[in-house]
Amino acid sequence: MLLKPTYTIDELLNRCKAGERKAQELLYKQFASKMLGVCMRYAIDKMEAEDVLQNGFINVFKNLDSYRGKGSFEGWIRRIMVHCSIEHYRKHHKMMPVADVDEKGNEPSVNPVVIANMDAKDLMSLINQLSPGYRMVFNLFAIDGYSHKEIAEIVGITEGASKSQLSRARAILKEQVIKMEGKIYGYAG
Amino acid sequence: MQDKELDSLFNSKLDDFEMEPSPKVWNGIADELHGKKGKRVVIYYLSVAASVIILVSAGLLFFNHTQNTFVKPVKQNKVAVKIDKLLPVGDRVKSGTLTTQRMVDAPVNSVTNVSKQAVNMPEEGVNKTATEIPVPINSPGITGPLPTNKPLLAVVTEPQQKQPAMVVPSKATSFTTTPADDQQVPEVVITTTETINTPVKKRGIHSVGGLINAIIAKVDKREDKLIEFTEDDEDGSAITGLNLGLIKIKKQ
Repeated sequence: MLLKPTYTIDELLNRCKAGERKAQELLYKQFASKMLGVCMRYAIDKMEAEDVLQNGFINVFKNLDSYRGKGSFEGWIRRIMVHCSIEHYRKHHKMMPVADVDEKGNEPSVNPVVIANMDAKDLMSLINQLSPGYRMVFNLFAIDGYSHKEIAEIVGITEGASKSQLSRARAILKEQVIKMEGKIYGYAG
Repeated sequence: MQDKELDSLFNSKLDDFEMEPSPKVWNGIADELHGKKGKRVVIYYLSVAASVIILVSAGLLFFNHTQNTFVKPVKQNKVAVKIDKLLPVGDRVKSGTLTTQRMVDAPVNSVTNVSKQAVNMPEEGVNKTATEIPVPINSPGITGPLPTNKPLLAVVTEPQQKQPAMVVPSKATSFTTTPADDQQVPEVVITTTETINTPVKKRGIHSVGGLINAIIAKVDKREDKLIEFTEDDEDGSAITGLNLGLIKIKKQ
């Protein structure tokens, strides 16, 4: 992958490992916007997301030697951002115990076409409105692709709790989507 | 709507969601990686410098007796007077090159030197205490032998009207006038040697407080110093002022 006409990602990484500030800035600018998007999903607002982004990139630069080139570099940074988000959550929020939810309960009806036309910012605002525990599990499972087992290890909860929180998060999101659909199209769902 | 549909919807919309961070994020990262480290180094060197100052101060206090008086070293002042062909005063005024006249004491011995050669270097010292009775020069030139028992007055030009002032031999002064023709320009070089025995009282450092005040005054040029002590022997070394930037305490 070419970042600039003269630098490949490997060259840039080598310069970053040598502590070259300009190279670090180039690397940061290359991934900052995308990684803030990741942090935004786990945070309440942009300010909190930027705090996590800053800590995440500091970890990236301090641990560049541990990147062995296996897998994409973007995937490696993304995992660091996710872990920093969870770490932030652990420091600032307490895990809320959640009762199991019957996943096959009554599901609200949502028109997929309507949802497909929803803006990414609207969906982001829906996620941000979730309680921190729901938000984290839903993000990890639905968007970042972690299994319940991995979530249980990372977050420090049981797999059952992870599944429960995911179900509850989905239910809340569906309700919110229907409300938003009603606002957009002028009727209550 | 199935769960998977919901998941894939959010995934497709938010997986590549981007948002521009504010500049403070990079500044914070750069400070953490580079800036604070530099500040730590500066603080380290400052603390080392402070330790050295304290040690040197203590050494001066205990091993060095301050001198209250001292004698200034002998000064050698040179006054170089370059004079073109000396014309009678009347001629100079006529030619327009002279706007003012000033009498310069030219001690006998120096002029004698000049008369020996078109001097370009100082040969011997001049005794400033020689008796001087000013007599205006009104004869053309001083190239010939001059009577050694008569003091002379050399006429020099000055471009502007000024208060007549004596030439002070404490610094090199050069007077030049426009040469009237191609003749060789005689130069008078007067070297004076004077010894100034000026007893100057130096304010002694009588206490630790005074010593520290003196050192801090060298470093801290502010009106209110970082820390000020009393300089009285009787009072010990009590702190009379403190200036930490935001916090200023001054005891009158």
